[in-house]
Amino acid sequence: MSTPPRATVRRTLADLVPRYMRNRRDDVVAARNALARADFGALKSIGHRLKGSGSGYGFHDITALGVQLEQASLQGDAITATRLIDALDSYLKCVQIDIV
Amino acid sequence: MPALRIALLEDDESQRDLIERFLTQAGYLCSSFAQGKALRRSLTQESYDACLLDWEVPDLTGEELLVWMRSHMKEYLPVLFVTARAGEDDIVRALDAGADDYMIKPVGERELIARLGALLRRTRGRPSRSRYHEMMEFRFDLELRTLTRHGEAVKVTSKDFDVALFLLSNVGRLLSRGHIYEAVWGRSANISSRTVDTHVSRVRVKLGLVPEHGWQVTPIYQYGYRLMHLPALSGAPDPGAGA
Repeated sequence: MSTPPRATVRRTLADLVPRYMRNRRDDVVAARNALARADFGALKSIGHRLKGSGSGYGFHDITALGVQLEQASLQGDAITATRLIDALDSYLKCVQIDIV
Repeated sequence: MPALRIALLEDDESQRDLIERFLTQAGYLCSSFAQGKALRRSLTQESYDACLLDWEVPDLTGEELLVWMRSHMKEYLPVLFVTARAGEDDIVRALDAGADDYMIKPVGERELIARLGALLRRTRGRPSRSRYHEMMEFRFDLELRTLTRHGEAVKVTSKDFDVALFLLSNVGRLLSRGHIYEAVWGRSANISSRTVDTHVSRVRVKLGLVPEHGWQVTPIYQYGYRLMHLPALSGAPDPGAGA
């Protein structure tokens, strides 16, 4: 079994994390729908949002996935986008959060 | 000193939560807006010390709002762009449109607060770290919370002290009632807007902020107040010079 990903969140932001994670799960659903419609503009916006918010909370992997998703959307690369959305979904399900 | 009031335009809820938290933890009062038009409306009714703008907002972009601000607002409002757009062309475009600084998301708390502080120092002057705050004939003792005018003690209540300090720290600026209210009473207070009027009126009388003494408190209809110094009448130097 692989080690689950970890993220370090500052105590002062801890109460914001449940809403943040809920919004990202909504992003996964919205991204899958956008991909089904081949709406790369919407997909790019989701990637842009992930890129902008992850690291601020301590979720650097979300920012990294956002950067790649935005790039894949710009290139109309559905295969890479599918892989990245799956990776985000999986990350959200198993990330271990350390509050410091 | 009263907290500074920042307007934040950010359509993404998670980003808004985060930046709002960074600002309030640093002691700022933050008013958040998810839509550009809502912020534009507020800017016609309220005063702020600085504005943080996101670029990509659905109804009115940060760039469009900035262009509107620079062409329609009489008071100069410092603007820090906070956006995930990282291209050199974007940065140049925002700065050319009138932004004072530019930050690329994801933003770190310390950098955001440092940049905002630097921006406010550039536009509003360096905040005094001294126990005393002096403005022309007035001297505020921030520790004892006492006030003198030409060396003579002026008896004021605690709230009048805060109102007087806020007004005299913002000479020449248009201050909305909401801004005065938040700076003096804070967000959680539940007072009527008449309370602000009552205190401003009392401070005006107690401190002698009248044209005979070179001062004028001008009420602005449905907005707030502006405290002006009238150097022509008093023959005194510009109050901003010693702030």
